[in-house]
Amino acid sequence: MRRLIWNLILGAATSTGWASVPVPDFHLTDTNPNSERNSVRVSPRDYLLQVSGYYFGAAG
Amino acid sequence: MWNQWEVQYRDVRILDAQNRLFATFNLTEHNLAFPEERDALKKLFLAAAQIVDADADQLPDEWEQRHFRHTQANAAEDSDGDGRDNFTEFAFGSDPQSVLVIPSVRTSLISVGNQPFFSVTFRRHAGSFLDYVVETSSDLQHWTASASEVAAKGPPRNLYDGTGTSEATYNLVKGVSDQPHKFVRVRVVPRPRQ
Repeated sequence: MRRLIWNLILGAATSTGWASVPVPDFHLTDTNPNSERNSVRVSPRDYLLQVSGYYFGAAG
Repeated sequence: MWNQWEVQYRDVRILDAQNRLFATFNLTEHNLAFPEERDALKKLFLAAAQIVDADADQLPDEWEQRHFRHTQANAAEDSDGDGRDNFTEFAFGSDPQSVLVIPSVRTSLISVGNQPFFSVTFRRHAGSFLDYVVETSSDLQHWTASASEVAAKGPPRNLYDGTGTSEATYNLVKGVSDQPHKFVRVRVVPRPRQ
């Protein structure tokens, strides 16, 4: 069942075209004091050719 | 940005190496307090990191497409004639089509206490597609990769420059005064695909 859910999510992403083009870029300042990039402006572009994950934990 | 990415509250968005959306994992629907959910998220990241090398030529298809606009490049060929074959160019994050961007292995002497130590720094690919083995020799004939001879100076440092590479530094364990001469090389080995 869980595999089906993942497939549906991936399928939805593909059907919207998201999976075929890079996501829109953004820049935000890293405010995590424990991050090695603290106070640096970071962007998904910095992580090209690597896998990256983004958590949207607060409405914005 | 929330609108542009069309995200929902508590979404985890996983991007592949080309910054394309690979998967969405919502933490309201999937509670990470449960081990199976954490495992599912981990599997998604690992799946996103899977490198495709359809022709098994030791050059990832994405890398070939980016530099050659096709996937028929030969790992053993030196496409730009700079003396480094395409596999070496890939392994050290340089440009296989430019003689100006060549693989770089920098050496230096670092000071620990009053003792100088030999150090080698090189750019390497992030991820697990390749293994980088730093070896030493006293005679250029017999090479060994021994922790008693050479040690990594911490984990590789991510360069965050969009090249997917990080910088690794290794130091000889013994100081210069303790060994009259020593040779160091970096050997790159493709990791067997699963």
